[in-house]
Amino acid sequence: MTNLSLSPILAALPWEADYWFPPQRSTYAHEVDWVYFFIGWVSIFFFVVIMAAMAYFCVKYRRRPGQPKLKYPTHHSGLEIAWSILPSFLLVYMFYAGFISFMDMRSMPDEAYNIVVNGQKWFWQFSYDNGKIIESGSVANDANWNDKKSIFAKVPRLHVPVNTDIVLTMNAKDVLHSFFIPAFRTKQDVVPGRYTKLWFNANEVGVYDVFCAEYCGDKHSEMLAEVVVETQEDFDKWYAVASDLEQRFPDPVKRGEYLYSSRGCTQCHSLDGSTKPNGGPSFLGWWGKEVPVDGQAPVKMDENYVRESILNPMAKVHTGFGKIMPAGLITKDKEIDALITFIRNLNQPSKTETKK
Amino acid sequence: MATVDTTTTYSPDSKPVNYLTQSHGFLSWAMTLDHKRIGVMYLVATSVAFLLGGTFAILLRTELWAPGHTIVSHDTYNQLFTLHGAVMVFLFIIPGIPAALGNFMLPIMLGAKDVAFPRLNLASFYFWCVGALFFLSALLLTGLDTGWTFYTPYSTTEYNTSKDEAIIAATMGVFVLGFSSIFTGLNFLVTIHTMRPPGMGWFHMPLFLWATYSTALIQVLATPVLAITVLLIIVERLMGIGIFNPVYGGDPVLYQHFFWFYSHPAVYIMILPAFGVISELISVNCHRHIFGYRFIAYSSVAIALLGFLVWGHHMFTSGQSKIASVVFSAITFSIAIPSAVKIFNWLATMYKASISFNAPFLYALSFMFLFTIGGLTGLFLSTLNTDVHLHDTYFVVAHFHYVMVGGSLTAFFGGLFHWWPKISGKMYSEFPAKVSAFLVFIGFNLTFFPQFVMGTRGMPRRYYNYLPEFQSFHQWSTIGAYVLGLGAIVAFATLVHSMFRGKKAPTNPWGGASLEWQCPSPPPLENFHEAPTVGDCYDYDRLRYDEKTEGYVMTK
Ligand code: HEC
Ligand SMILES: [Cu+2]
Ligand SMILES: [Cu+2]
Repeated sequence: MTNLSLSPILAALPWEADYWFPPQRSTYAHEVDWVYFFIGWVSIFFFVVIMAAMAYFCVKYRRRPGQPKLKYPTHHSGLEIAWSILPSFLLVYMFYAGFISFMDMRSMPDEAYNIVVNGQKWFWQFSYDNGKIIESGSVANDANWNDKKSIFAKVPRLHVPVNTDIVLTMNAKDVLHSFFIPAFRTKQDVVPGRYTKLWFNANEVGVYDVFCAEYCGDKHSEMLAEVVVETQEDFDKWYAVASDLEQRFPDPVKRGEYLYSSRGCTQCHSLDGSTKPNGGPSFLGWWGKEVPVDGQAPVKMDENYVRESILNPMAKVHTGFGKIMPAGLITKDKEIDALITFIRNLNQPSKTETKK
Repeated sequence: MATVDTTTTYSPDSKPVNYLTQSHGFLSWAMTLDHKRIGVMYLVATSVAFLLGGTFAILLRTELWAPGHTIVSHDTYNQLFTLHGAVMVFLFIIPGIPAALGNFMLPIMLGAKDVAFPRLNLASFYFWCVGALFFLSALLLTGLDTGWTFYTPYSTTEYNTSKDEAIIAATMGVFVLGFSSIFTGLNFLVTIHTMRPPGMGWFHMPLFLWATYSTALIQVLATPVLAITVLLIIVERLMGIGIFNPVYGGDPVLYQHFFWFYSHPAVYIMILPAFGVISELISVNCHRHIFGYRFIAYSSVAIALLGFLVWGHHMFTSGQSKIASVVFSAITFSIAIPSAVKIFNWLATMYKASISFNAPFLYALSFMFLFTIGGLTGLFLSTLNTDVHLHDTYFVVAHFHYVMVGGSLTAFFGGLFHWWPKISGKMYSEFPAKVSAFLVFIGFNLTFFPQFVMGTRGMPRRYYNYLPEFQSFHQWSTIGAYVLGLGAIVAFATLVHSMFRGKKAPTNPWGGASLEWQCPSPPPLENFHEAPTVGDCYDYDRLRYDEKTEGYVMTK
């Protein structure tokens, strides 16, 4: 973007190896990298000069017995002014280079493909076209951290077409999070109570890591995701399939299961009767039973109760659990129906008929 | 005319009487108004805090040996890094040099008997203790896991696992410690303004005093903002009044502004005194007048003032406005200049010098190396676009440890060894002290250099689990932390050993020309038996080495 770019020169230097950075996969990534290497080389230059002088003086002027005192200057205004002012020019240039590219990174393109990103403890949720597709999930509790495949097996995927301006409109449900894509060299805090935006244009097909970069509690390090950059064609194909849940999962139980695992319920609700720490009641065990509710008469767990619990979790709070369940995770009737079928089937497999 | 023969004493029964032997018993310390004893109590207390914070660090680094679970749980890990940061920042680095070494040296360097307000000085120490108790209680109540930054709304909601009491205990701790810091700062300001001896103008003061003065200025001006901020957290948490939490209509980013308005200047509370120490260490051991005295003095004040205008550089990705970020970035660059000036001046002081390589000087060299890296890597973070990538990664962790640990901690150790003969009256053994300097240097670089690479590659900070590709960096870092820990233990052990086995220290073992080297080691209660004569505190040509006392004496 800047005309003053030193990037061609810097690119020719051997140091700009893949060793330092993740791959350079957004249109502005190279701006960040060359400024980084420019500062890097300036720093190395000054560091080497200072250390060399220090080492030289240490050897040359070490104390030796019987050595006469040397005459030395106690100050030299010209020199001191020079070394205060001359490096400033470099600093001004660093500032300028960073500024130009920052304005580029932070000014949203006019026409772009919009995706809504929600951050909450501890998963990301990507929503396309007002919830037509919602992708969410997080690292599985039993993931093997020595195996990248296993870590990323259940994380949500942000599908985007290559060479297209993408704008993410981001909001947090609970505390601060930060959306960080190292391969694109960008990050933006995701703040409750306001929308923050981030844009990028991925220039190569591939799959790239996403981290949460703002500390958000216990599973901060498990709040991972992936950006899947694909050709427009592949993206369209994915979109067509993903947006049609009924076609993707004709069986409502399967559809409910998909919703359960893709909308973040896994974080708090187990399927085996156990209670997750800081979570909610298991989906196994309560169906058809009387549920104790804070400050109200117990209610039977049936279709209506589940429906209300999802749409308005604070209406009846299951005694012994915190008021932590977020509203709005699932809002569409058909989806709620599928989820209810899934829960019912979990508890009473025989009584639910499943479409084969 | 200062007496040359000050090691002998003037007490009637001719037993040496000094501030340590003046009186005995617990109360003679607990109720003392003597700045030296208060300084020593601070020294012991902050050293204990350092060892505690260091233990947390070692546990953290051990947990990070493997990508998944290693020794502790998620929650414990989060508590550990919170406590490591909070203890190190609030209990060790901020009070470390000013309150421990500063308290001891400041009046002596001024040829004064004590600070301006001795009672306030003692009160400041007890405030520190109370603040520390609050912190420790947060530790015992278990559950403080907000990070030392207490970012909202995490810290003010019930979403996290911290109990109310833990947050309140910790923030009250910060509040009370703030008072301790303000008292010390105020005391130093007044002392320097009113108690300089005849003949010592502003530009005749040792540079350590200029540094302490600038630090005190920040302590007095910035700390109240922190105090108010943590009070607001308590108010929001207890009464649900919306200030920072959007659920009640507050704004979480506002908190960050408040917090960094204090905490960025606090960075200079931590590093300015270190600059002062290094100016002394270098000029004394070079036996040569400091180069560019005025530039160094002015640069301390410049840093203190500019330090108030740059807090937003912690928030380039926070959602603050673009323009605000641009302005903060620009001002931040301007602060690089006075810091660089100091490095250049110290370097020039070594030119045509006559350098003694004792342990304090090795620490000073190590400081120059590490702080230069710390300062230069700050450029990557003040530049807007690179910071967007590097913010909240290990690059930042490495950068500020190069400044805080590579800078402040090495200066603390260097200063401690340098003034130890004065404080304890004993010489430490040079060899293990040098070994400690070496271990700290190696261990430090091994711990933190790999973190620059890791951060650039995208490893976020405060991660309990991490991707396997970062493992080898983490392992180097962990090994480095062990070496660093060993170095610190060797340093403390050397000092403790000297208390029992050390040779008696002469008045002026290194050949310093400022006033603290003219009073006996250790000083008597009133510091000077007769008012010392004030000369150029960087004119080492008037000193001569005396074989008999193994120290330096004034010749003119
Ligand atoms: C942050 C944790 C959390 C997440 C995520 C979450 N829930 Fe909950 N959920 C709770 C808690 C806690 C309760 C019990 C308190 C209450 O009733 O609000 C609960 C209660 C429920 C109940 C009522 C069950 C009962 O025994 O009272 C249903 C049904 C439910 N959740 C469905 C869902 C679905 C479906 C999802 C995913 C779309 C989901 N929850 C996601 C925490 C969560
Ligand atoms: Cu997070
Ligand atoms: Cu700062």
